[in-house]
Amino acid sequence: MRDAKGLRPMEGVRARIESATSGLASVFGTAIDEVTVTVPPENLPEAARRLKETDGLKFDYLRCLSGVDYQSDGIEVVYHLFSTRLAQKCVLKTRLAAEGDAVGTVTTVWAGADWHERETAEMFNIRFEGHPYPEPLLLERDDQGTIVPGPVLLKRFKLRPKEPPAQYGFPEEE
Amino acid sequence: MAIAPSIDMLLEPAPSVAEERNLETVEMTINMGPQHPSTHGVFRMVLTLEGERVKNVQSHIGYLHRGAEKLGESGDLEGYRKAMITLDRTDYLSSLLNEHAYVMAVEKLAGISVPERAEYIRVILGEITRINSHCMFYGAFGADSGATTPFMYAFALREEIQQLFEAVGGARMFPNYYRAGGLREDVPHDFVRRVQTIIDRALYAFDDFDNLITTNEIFLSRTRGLGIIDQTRALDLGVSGPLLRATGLPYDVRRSEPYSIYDRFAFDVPVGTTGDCYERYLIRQEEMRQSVRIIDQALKDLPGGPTMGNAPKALRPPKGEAYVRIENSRGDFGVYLVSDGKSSAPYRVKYRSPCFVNLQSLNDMVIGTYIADAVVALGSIDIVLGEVDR
Repeated sequence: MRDAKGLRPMEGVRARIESATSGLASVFGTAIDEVTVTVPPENLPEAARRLKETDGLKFDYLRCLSGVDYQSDGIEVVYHLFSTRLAQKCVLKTRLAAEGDAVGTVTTVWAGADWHERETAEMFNIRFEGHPYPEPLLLERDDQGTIVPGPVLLKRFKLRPKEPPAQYGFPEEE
Repeated sequence: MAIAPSIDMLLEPAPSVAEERNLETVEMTINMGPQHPSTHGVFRMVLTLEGERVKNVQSHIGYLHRGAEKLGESGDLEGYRKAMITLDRTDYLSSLLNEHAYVMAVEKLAGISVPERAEYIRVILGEITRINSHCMFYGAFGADSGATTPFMYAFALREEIQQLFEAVGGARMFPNYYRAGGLREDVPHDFVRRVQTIIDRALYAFDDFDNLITTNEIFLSRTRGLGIIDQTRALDLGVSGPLLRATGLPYDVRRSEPYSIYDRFAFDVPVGTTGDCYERYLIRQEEMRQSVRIIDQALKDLPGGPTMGNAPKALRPPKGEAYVRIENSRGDFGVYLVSDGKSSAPYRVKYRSPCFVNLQSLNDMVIGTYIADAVVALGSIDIVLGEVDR
């Protein structure tokens, strides 16, 4: 029951996730060789907990947590999961309507989500409700308390061309 | 004749004077870093100390944040190749391994096949990079635990490897050598001979490494029983690489989700039992020998033929997303790539760097130890801050 890569086939994983996440308004899809399951933000912590704890799924390893800015279509938060015991993988997703919105934290499910969530929050200007320490990680706050230079990975944040350096040397005498 | 105290006696923490006499000590908070030789880059730990014991630690990262992901998304002329330039500079010790992950993600997204010869060369160079990076660990970890000589031994081998990289990719540090669909150009005509020379010498070098510190009593007493993380906690944190394997879980992406052509080679995945700093060191030592084993097999089978498939230079993959991960020298390195199907640059690039996650285990390792041991525990994670901050 393993494919060439030693992983369990996608169809079986999908069927098991379908039964585990029933009642959470989950939508299924595929990303090349992985099952994707999208749930509304309010159901996300519950879906994460069930994916980790249900027999036959046991997604105990958080491979990656990231965000993608789809501009007018909202911001997607993506959780890549893997089960070290059952050798299967899946992608859990949720879509936030706009920046400033919140999704529940999964640090209670996978402790390693801590820094991932802090990074995603500052880069996309979203919040993870219930996070134990919701402070910027890679960026910093200025004197007024705003995070500089801002939500960098949002598409509206444009990179500026580098400003030319100020003239070196002494100012000309008058 | 005086009898040397056994290691176990040394490991028993002696009661401090303050504990013995029931004295009150004042808590002290000190900044270790950002500029500190044993933080391996620009990393700040705020340590709360009681005497010499660490009561709490707070990590501060981001000093090397250069926006590698944002820059990778902004390739207007270079397209999908631009992300690799910044990716090389994130983990400067395992550039080629990370390039491998990135080009595999692009290939997966665009459905490009890779010629056999290119796959073999990628594996050979990847494993040499692993040896190169573990040599750096060996030198730095020796220095962290109080021995300066390992650095010299490690760098003698590293120098030969860097020269090979220069011959192959044109640069010692940031080769930017892989391309979606193959390699930028074929390897030099004496590649096989040079690699053979390196792995022959490497095996002698590993013996030297062992003789220097592996059974050294001071080294043992500094590292054994320190920084223990149990398996459940390690998995919960998402820790990977030698840190996770030291806890006894044989979890290696080359085995658990084989990529490229790793399923063709015989190699062992070393695991530990207790998960302390010493086992992490031993695992890395053994991994270098296993890398030599892989290179040896790959050199024997290295086929001829082209090193570049018929991939277009300006890529425009169909709309979709791909997540690819590899086992780099520090753990599970992942690349998440999203294409919108329109632009010639990736819509989203995300690097899941192993150190970023592994570093979160620092609190578990150092709280309750002496401040001098915090340095060793941090060194055992083998962090590269460029990769943590990206």
